[in-house]
Amino acid sequence: MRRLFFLIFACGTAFIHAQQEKRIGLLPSFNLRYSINEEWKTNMKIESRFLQIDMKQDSSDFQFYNLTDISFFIGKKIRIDNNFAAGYLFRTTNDGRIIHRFIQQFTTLQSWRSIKSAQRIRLDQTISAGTVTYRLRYRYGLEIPLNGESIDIGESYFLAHFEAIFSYEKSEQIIEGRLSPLIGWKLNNRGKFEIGPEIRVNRNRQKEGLTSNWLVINYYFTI
Amino acid sequence: MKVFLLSFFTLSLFVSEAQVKFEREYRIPVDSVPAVSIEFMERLVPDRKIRWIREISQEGTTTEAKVKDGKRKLSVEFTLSGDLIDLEIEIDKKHILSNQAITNTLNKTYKKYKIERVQLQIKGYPQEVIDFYTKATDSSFLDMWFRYEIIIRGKKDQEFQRYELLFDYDGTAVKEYVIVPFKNDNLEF
Repeated sequence: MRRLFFLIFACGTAFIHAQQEKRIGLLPSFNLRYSINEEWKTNMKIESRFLQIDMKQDSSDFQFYNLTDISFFIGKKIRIDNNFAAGYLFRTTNDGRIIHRFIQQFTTLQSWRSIKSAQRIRLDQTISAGTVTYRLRYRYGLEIPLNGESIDIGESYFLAHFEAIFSYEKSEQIIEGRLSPLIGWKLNNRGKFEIGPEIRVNRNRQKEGLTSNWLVINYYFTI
Repeated sequence: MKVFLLSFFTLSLFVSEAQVKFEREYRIPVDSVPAVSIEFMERLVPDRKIRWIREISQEGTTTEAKVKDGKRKLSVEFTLSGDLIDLEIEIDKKHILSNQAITNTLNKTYKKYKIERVQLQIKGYPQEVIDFYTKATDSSFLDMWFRYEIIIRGKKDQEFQRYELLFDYDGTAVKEYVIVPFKNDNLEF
């Protein structure tokens, strides 16, 4: 367990030192799931950015609070291991901007022995100040129990997400990669807690971009 | 008449509501495994690395030894006092597809199905099981009391579910459990 923690945080630190322009901060989220029946479910998520520091070569900027995303999804199970979900995300920022995002996603889940994995393809359309940005996202996730063959109450797990994002807007196209190795605990039958770094690296066509490093804290609750 | 009764029994088991499978598994150190179980495994698969698991299900609490022997994946279940319950060997699903009695039952019970995993479950006295395993091509195979444990994705009415099924060697259905899908909100959202 200690080795795994070291590996995760060493990864994050390596990325921080590898880039000149960077952003660091805290990314807590609360996720609420409600199953309507065996096939349909809803999901609400609130995620905020706090303690954000933008570091440039000769200056830095600190914001205690930056933004909040509130999203609602409705999802339908297709066969056993596939899910389709559509949702809407509302973003409000500390400088008063409002952003609307429409999301469609398809997730396929696999399990091999005690390891679970998921592949997610997501399309989203973001409307902000009269412009529309289209994004295509692919995420691969892997969940491995750390205390046995399955994740039982009180036990921990390792969760890693890798995501590739292609973003298209009239004036700019951006490619982004995200890596998020987390440690999680199943607190009870309804709740899960996860913590770990998330590294985001993006570049535009002129090879300009930003590397951001977040400390992610997730709490999942099922009604 | 015998065939009719067998089919009736098998179908009536599957038509009735399937039980939901409850299972919890966690690793245990070798120190907490009875010596008789360790000795059995040493005779069955000498010098192999064994993972010892405690399994709690609606059928009780047992100790399980999981081991890979070459290409074979074995799972051996013991009582808490160390007595052998059964040996399970993962086998190719084509063995089931060629078993007419089992495929007939599956075809009648499920509108659609896909076999995901098949294990041969062998019960017997410890020495018999070791003899069977070490001489797997021997004709003693037919004299052993064995069952098939099958995991399928199946559709009875509207939706697909994952099932764990247990069949006797002659195709008689013994048990049917529904496997509850895992909650995946952290992999999905």
